[in-house]
Amino acid sequence: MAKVLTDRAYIEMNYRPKAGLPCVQDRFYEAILKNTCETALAASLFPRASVVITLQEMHDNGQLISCAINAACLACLDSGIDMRFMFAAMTCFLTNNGDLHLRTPEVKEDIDAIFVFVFDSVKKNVIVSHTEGTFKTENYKLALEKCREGSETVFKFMRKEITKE
Amino acid sequence: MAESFRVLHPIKYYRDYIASNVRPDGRGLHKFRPVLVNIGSIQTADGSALAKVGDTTVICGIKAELCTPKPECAREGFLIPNVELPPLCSPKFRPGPPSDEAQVASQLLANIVKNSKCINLQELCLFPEKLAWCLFADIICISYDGSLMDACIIALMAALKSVQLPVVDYDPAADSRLVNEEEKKSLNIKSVPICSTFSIFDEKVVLYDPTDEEESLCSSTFNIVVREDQLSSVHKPGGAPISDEKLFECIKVSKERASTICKLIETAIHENNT
Repeated sequence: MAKVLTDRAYIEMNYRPKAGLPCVQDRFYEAILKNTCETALAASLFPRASVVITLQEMHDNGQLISCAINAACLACLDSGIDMRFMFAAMTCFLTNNGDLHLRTPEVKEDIDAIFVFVFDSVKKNVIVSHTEGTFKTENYKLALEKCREGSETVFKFMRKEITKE
Repeated sequence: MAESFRVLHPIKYYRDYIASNVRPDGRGLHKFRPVLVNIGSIQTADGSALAKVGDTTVICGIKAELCTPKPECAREGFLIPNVELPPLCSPKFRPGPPSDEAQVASQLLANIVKNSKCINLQELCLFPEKLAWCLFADIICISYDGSLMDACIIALMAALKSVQLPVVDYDPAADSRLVNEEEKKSLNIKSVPICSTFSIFDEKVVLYDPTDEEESLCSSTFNIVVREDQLSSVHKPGGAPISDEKLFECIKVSKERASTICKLIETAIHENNT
């Protein structure tokens, strides 16, 4: 009862790692996921309600956080809760020769920086920006553009999957 | 009258102020609060600093302990930042285990330290696989009034710069260590990352350096960390979407602010030494 909000729905996010109990790093991801879903779901339509989203990591082959965000979006769409917009996450890697890749590079030592962006489906504005490593503003700008282009495919995929049946 | 209006309709109250390009505390929308740094506030710590950003006050104490390095990084020491948000700093925190906000702040701080490479952990190792320094950086918030990360980073970096570690003689054959308390040396801090916090009000107006009240009313808060002329983190954990031009404007402003704060820390360290 303590979690009841009188003006909107309470959104509870549970992120579970592959094994063991959630650690501080998982709480950090959980906060990002929770904030994203709170913006995207039309929570003010359901006062005094609660939405529980549980994410379980199955296998991590790089880009885990993007994958978790996209899974959360698809699950929200599938549940039929009203949403203000869809969201899609993209990860971009900056390698030490200055190139940007959307695929996880094979050699970890080559990675200079990692960028994770989440875009909304209406205006394609940035909802989440999470970065690892040090980089120049120009690289950030290029990575943002590349991820925005890439997010189109994710939105297309989501639309296709959700209208299939 | 104005006070009860503020309590009953906080958003309307802020909207009226922001419509005339001013905030209730008298600042313009694009103004930062004054920053204050004090070095060596705790005598019993190996390094310490107090940082104030407006009314947000945090104190950082660094305690160094000798330990064995982890087998996977045998040549590295440790730097463990921990942010504490006790109930005394704000009524929104309860006693008990660390709140989610404190855990997220600790993790963000650890990420920033790692990404900006401000300290080379290999220099904290005294003998591979056997002996290394473990620096516990405990950051306690004394007064919480928004932009917590800004204050935490300033306090942590100033404290790291003031750390004096004793020289240790280690004999690997006999596994004996001799700590020479007379002879002390400072850490080699390569760069100073500086964080700036921004909030988005009503999904369009960007407020610089928000207070606690502003943060709770705003739909999104994000941090930009600058190291020299490079970026070491752009952290926006969800919330209202932001357009590119506003984001890059904030990056530009953070860079300008970072150089002033770097100078401030340098001056504080210099004055503490003389």
